[in-house]
Amino acid sequence: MKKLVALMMALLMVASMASFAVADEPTKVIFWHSRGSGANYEVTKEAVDTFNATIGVEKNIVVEEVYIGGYGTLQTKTQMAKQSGEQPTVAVTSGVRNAILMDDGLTVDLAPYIAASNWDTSRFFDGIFYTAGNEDGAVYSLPYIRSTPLFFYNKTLADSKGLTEAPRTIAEMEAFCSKLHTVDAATGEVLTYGFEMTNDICYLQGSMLYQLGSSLGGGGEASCLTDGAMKKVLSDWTRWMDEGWCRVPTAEALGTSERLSQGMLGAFVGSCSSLGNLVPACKDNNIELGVAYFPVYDAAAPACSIGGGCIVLLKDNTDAVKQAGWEFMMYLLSDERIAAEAIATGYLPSTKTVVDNADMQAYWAENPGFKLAYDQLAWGTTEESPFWVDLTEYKTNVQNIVGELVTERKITVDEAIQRMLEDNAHIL
Amino acid sequence: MSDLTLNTKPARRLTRKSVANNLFSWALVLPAILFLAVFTFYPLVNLIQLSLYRGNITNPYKTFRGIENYIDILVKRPQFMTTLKNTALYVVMYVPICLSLSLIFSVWLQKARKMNNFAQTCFFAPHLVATISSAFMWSWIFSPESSGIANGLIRLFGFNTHNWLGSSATAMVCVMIMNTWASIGHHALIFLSALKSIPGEVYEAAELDSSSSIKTFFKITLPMLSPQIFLMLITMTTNSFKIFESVRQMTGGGPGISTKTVCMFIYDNAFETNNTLGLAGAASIVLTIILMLITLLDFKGLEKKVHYQ
Amino acid sequence: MQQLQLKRRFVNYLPNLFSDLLKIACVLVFIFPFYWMIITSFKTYGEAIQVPPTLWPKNFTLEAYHNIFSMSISFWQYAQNSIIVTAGVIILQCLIMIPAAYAFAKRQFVGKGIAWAVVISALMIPGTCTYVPIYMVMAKAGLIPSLWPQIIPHGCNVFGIFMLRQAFKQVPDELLESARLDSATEAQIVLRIMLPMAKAALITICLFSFIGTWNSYFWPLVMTNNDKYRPLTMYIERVQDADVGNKWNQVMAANVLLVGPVLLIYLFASQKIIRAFTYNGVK
Repeated sequence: MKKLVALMMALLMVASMASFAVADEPTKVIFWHSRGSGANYEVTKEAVDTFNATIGVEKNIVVEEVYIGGYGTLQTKTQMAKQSGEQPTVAVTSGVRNAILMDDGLTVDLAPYIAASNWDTSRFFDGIFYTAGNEDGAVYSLPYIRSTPLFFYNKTLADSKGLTEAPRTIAEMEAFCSKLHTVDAATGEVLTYGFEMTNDICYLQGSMLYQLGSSLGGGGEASCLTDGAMKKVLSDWTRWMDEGWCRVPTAEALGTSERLSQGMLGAFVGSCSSLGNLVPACKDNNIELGVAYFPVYDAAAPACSIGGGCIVLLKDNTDAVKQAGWEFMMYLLSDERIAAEAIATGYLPSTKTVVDNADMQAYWAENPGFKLAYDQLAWGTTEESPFWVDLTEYKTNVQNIVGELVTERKITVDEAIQRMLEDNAHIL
Repeated sequence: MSDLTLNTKPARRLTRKSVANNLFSWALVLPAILFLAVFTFYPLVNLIQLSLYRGNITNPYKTFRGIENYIDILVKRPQFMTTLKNTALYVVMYVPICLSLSLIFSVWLQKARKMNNFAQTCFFAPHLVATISSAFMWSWIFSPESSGIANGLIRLFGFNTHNWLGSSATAMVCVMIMNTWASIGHHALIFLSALKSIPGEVYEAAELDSSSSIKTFFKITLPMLSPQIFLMLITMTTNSFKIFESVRQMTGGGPGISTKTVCMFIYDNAFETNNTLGLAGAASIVLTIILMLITLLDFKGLEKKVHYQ
Repeated sequence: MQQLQLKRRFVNYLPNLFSDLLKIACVLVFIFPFYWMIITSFKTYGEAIQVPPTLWPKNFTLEAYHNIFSMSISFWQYAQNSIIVTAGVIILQCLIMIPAAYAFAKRQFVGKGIAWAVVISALMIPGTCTYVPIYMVMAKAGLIPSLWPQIIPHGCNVFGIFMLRQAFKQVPDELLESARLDSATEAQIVLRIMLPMAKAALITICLFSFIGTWNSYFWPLVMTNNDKYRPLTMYIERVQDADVGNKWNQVMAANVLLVGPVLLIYLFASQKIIRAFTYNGVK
């Protein structure tokens, strides 16, 4: 009996020691993102699973991805998480909002991590890398899912009307779209609208502001309201709607992509990420999709907005967790991963070096439209710098007034601009 | 006995039994009061604090502003007052229409017949659907293209398609239609249960006096229902003032901000824009004060008209 | 003879005919959005966004449902959360509401007026405003990674206390007196006398609570940070595939799945309620 007990105790001791050796808990990385459904979600999950199966096993890291919501919700939740003490490790933020998190002191300067890992950041386009927070050697965010706006049109319809060349300048676009506009001769009902531009003030109309040498606003200044740029953009846009071939944007069930693929819309400007579903949808409906650069005022001085999001590393975590988070960030921004995501969703690959990636080249050969969005990065500007803590409030106010202007036309452009100045007087 | 005021007897001598009775009664209501204190009153105090500063959720008390936030929203900037006006318009449209329709429906479906039971069940069904689902469905119905059902219908009658949710004149009406659809059954059910408690003899007496059904409705039914009507009026008014989800999902604030309501203003300033948490707090306090005033006015003004059995 | 009886029945029914037809018309109008939701969930994506829309699916398909259940986001996790949260809220509310309503209806005590004023004034405070402070409270208590933030704050159902108190007041005082003379405890009085007589009101309150909790969207949106705790209402945006432009057939299918249980419970409970009301009406 005694021998049996002794044997069992010995076994227990050995077992516990063995379990101590094996039970090295993997470091847990929590990744909060904004890509909740469809291809975007699938590709994010794939990134996480692949990481966990390869580098994760190597370095004993486990990443958990959590969908939180859109950029606004994501920013607020990240801020709230500080209060509840359960901050994520890595989070996605929009270009503007990442500076807000930095200003709140929530994010980590990645420069020491970059130096320690000998990571090459010159791969990134200057335009998207040097946003607010990434000046003077500090790196508070890295570009993740970026996009530029493109001009999409129904090539089948255009060809049938003899419009074989895609427009490059805004003047050309006006001629192009007014011809594309199709009206039923008998009833006067519009069969296909020539053009539509949704009210996305910092992205679409913002691109036009950049082309005029101005910008929506930064650092507490709203130069576009005083130097006439906003007036020109709004006047042009309302004139297009008055001429009849530009559809008035409204909040509703069918989006611009859907309406193009259904033949109700001839052309629109939108994010390159729409490509991901436009191509198959148009194919399903026997429409050839035409893609072109976002039209510019002056072909010699092109400019456009770069939208989308970045990833940041959050401070309120242990050093081990932060290091693990950094490993994951490096993986997410490796060329292979960037190429895979771009191919699956239409978001832009943000590095110069991705052109050497074989998958990317093959994909671009097949879908030249995607390459156009990438080319635009060369003259793209991000809206984020210099940092302005009230930028979101300003944007919302301006967007509301623009909405009133274009949807109802009860006020004139001048009145709209006057109201923008008044409504934002307390923060300008 | 009035439903809303209490009949408290004067205190008697403090016997051990009465103390024990009092303590026991308090023990019964204490959980409710505790929950309310933590989850309803404490947030209010917190909001008052927040409204005196300008900050965001990470740093709620960044810069002290005193009552400047209040002056901002009430006087300096038109946004809050516009949302207040929108909300008031909605309430004034919705409450009379929904209340009268629910009353009519409940009287109409009063008799216990199979058809009435079936109709009652169907009218109540919309209440079961989550607001986000209803909003999806109805924004589809009100779609501005010819594909929308509403437009399809009016085209049958020869009118042009209309941009329902994109025109400030009709956007709020559409939201009101959706909310009426969703809640008529609910209110009718409450009225129905009250109607069932009216003694049958009252109606028999009316019939003996050969009073027409309309006269019966106004002279007998309405007064007997007045406690419930009064209660529903108050709850409907306060609830519709707080309207948020349905508007947000259907119009997102409408063309410009013509359908933005007060609660949307609060939510957007708390969660969507940075550095505006104080404004949300100030707006919340103003809304609470307005609701209190409305309830008090309703009590004072209408309680006299309420007829008790 | 039979023919005469039928004829008489028909003649008796005639005045109701017009009213009944009108009722059917109203019912159709009310039910139409449901019908729309259900048939859209059985269409293909292409047909769902077709213009003009079809009133009956050309190609009846289970594609939307299949997609939902084969997605890597777990439908059952969300559904389970909805069930637990709703059950939890109803139980908690009953535990708090019943004693309070009884005390306000049938017991006299010092400070009753003040307690009642406190309860009523809670009706005036809008819920949207309380999101942020309650989040902070829950966060400090470390409860955010759990289902509790969706249950606890709704513990006190003021409208329920109102209605239940009204129902309790209908119970004649003599019954209580005789029960007390028989030395029944207060708990026994509540359970054996008050509750059975207020059955209709209680079922109605629980039903409304069920519907409200099952369908709540913004509250869990603010209070949850992880799929593990999210309820079914938040599932819809995961099937939306918004980048593709709102997969309507999937969205409607998710909505059908969301409404289904509520509809079933309502059909079951409404029969009880109607019977209870009819019983109460016989005086």
